[in-house]
Amino acid sequence: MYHKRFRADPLILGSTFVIIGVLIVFPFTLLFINSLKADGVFTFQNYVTVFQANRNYTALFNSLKLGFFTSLFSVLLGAPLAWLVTRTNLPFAKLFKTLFILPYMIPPFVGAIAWSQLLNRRNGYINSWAASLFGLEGHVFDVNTMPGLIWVMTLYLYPFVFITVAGALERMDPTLEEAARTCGAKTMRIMRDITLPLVAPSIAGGALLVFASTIANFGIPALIGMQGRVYVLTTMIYSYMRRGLTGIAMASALSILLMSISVGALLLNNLYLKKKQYTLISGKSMRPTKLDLRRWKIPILILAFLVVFVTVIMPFVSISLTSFLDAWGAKITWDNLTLKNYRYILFEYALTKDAFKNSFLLAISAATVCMVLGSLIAYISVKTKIRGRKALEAVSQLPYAVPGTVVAIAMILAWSGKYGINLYNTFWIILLAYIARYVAFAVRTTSASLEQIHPSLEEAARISGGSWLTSLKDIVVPLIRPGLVAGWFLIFMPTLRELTMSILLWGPKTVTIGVAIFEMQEAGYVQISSAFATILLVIVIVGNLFVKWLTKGKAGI
Amino acid sequence: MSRVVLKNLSKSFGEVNVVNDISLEIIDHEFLSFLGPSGCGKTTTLRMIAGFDMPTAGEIFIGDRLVSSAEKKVFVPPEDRNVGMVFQNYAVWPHMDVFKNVAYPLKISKVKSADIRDRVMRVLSLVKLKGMESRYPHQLSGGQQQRVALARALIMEPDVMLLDEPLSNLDAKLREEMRFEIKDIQRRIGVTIIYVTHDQAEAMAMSDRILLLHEATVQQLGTPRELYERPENQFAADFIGLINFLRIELISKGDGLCARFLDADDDTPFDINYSPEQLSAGMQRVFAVRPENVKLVSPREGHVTGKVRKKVYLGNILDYRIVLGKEEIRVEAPSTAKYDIDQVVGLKFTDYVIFE
Ligand SMILES: Nc1ncnc2c1ncn2[C@@H]1O[C@H](COP(=O)(O)OP(=O)(O)OP(=O)(O)O)[C@@H](O)[C@H]1O
Ligand SMILES: [Mg+2]
Repeated sequence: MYHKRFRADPLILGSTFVIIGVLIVFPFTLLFINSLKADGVFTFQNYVTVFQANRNYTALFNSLKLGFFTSLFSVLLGAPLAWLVTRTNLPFAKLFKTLFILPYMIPPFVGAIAWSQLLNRRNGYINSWAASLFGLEGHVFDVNTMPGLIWVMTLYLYPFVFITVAGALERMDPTLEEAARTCGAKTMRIMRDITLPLVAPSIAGGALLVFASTIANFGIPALIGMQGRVYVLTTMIYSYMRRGLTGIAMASALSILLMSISVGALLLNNLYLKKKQYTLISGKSMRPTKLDLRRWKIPILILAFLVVFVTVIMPFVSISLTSFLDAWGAKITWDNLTLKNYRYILFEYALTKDAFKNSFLLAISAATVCMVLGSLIAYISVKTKIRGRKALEAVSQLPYAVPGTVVAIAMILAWSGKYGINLYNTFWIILLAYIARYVAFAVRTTSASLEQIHPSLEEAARISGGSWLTSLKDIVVPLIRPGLVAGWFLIFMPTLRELTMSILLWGPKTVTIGVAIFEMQEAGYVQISSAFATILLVIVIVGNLFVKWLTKGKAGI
Repeated sequence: MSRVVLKNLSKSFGEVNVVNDISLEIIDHEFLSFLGPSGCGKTTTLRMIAGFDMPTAGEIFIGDRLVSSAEKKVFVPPEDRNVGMVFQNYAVWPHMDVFKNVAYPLKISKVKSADIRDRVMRVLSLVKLKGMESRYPHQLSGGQQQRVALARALIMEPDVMLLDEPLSNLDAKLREEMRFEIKDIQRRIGVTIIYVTHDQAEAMAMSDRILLLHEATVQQLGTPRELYERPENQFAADFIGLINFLRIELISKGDGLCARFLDADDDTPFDINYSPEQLSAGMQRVFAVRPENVKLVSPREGHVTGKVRKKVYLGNILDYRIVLGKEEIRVEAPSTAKYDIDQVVGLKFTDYVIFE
């Protein structure tokens, strides 16, 4: 006997498709169309114009150059460190493993601020110190150059290579190396013939991730490159948009270009290299024999500590020290230290107070909406047989795969009044952008936990008379709650410090933390932006520790 | 000279003793198996011989060379031991084709490339992999990969080959085939082989001698026949083949001894062929007898009587279960035997062992 009952599922599930359509498909289609339209007709004119302008050409070339060298140096730094931590008897290996990942936790624009304090031409701490030490006139380093960009970017992104290579080395079956030893090969020979070829796909994978993230990064090239007139694609798009909506045609064409490059890199990784990584490396977890560093132990330990000192401690000290300075550029003495910068941003300056309020509100709303929407998508994809469910999931992943700059441009195209709704310069356009970009996280965390729920649990609830909604509420949600909570924080944390999209979307009333720090730094209020950045760093670190604790070490950045 | 000598070899990980005082001499060209249940320390012992683990105590000689000694602080690394090893999971390199895998040891020892080709082909035909030189491991079956690993170990012409459960991942038929091939290869090239397995049938079929291990200690060392017919303790008796254990009490009878079952209804004493030097009256012992060593006879002719509870026809034999009071005993009789359920029969023991 079947009772006709009001069925909520078609309505809710159906509207999920509509929301994703409006939120993601619509803006990105517009972006694509817009790049092909000039003066109302379809044409490749925009692309032609893009390449006619020399500076665009230079920006593209700079992006590729920056991407290439950052990947290269990330491999040179990350891969040996991964090997040291996993395969040798380096003391404190476990601690170093955490410390080597830490730079990635520092928001890139904060790192950029730190490094411009340390290495800028006029009064960078290291430059002044070197000058006084060797009695030099002028500067030794200039961070506002391509090499400076590569340096800062590498220190921020090398953890990608470190993580993938360390993972591969840990999963690699140690008997493969032992077999080579019984054949008479010595350690160095084994590294060359066995270990290196086996982890090569993972190294390449990590390098591609670094490449894609470098190309997509805005904060570092904006704060370090623009001052030295080194433009890359993201900063070029930003400078077009600075002129208001008139630059949007060029910005769209550049965005499509930027998107193709970074998506291309990610696809290459996913389609080709991931497969290789799996076939090469067994899932067995056996403990490999660790190489005894012997007399190299202490020198290498010092070197490892130096890496931590340069990548983590120096930027942190620089930022926090500057935040206590009375006057920027003055000598660091007790008389010169003050708390007034903190007092100013926390209690006096309206802009920063707004920024705190906006960012918290945005992060909380974005995380909440993302979790609801993301769980629905994950549910549809994992638990139903609705046609188009895989496409829905794939589309939901798209905005995270493309650079944030591109997402922001797409949002501006869709919601600046051309199609009836004008959200330009409002809170809502930023929120939409955050949701679009980070819903991918929500889908991934929830589908992972949903996959572990056996369908029989849910069916049992429905057989015993529950409707779809009750079974969802009583069975599914409680079972995936830990995943939901962790997912929420994994969205809350990065949106709180978001810069790339916010900088293109903010209006007079919607300044965010990232934007505030960026604008103050650009305007030369170095101590205030440092104080703000220090507070942000503390929030990020505490937040990460909290997420780590919450998920028992499984998540966190 | 390719004997292997272990002297009071021990290994512990932290507090846990994983290998406990093993002493053993494996003679030239011998096929010796380490047999024992999972976790008894077989792999650890093998890895110490190969040089991947350092012993906590004791010494290892390969040939006449001392390769490991905890006391004398001697340790020859694996690459200098000239020991071939086939790992349990093959450890065939996935980024090299069959030829490169097998040729690798020769490349390391800088053999001329013309010679390499010759020798690789010879070894590949030995393990019946000719024509597969350019395949990659993922294009090979488990059995073929295992033979690649074997070829790679053989080509070094090692003094000693260590094989760690090399057949455990194969299906029954292939396993049978590979057993034969490994044995055959050994006969042809005359290498000393130490073979690890937890499969007693495999050890029995292939080995010259078997080292039986349990909980890190040696239980027995001997030929397959010795292990089967003269097990030295209950564990050995139980681990290899089928056996019945019955509690007995020893009673003196004139100059000699006889025994009676403690848990049987029929406790008539019966003669045993143990001398009073080995045992004495009043002792309680365990009487172990294999099913094929019990003959079913008429009640008056047997050592004890029992009642048939069950019989199963297995073609060549009849599998009987005979009740002796509280205990039951398993008997294999020729399929011509004709005893019915509930019939009272006599049991005659043709061979047996008595344990503490
Ligand atoms: N590196 C190690 N650290 C601590 N304990 C270990 C280590 N390696 C092995 N053991 C322990 O030593 C014991 C013997 O291990 P071993 O691998 O030698 O067993 P095995 O006889 O080969 O068993 P199997 O038949 O399952 O392969 C096991 O209890 C195992 O847990
Ligand atoms: Mg083992």
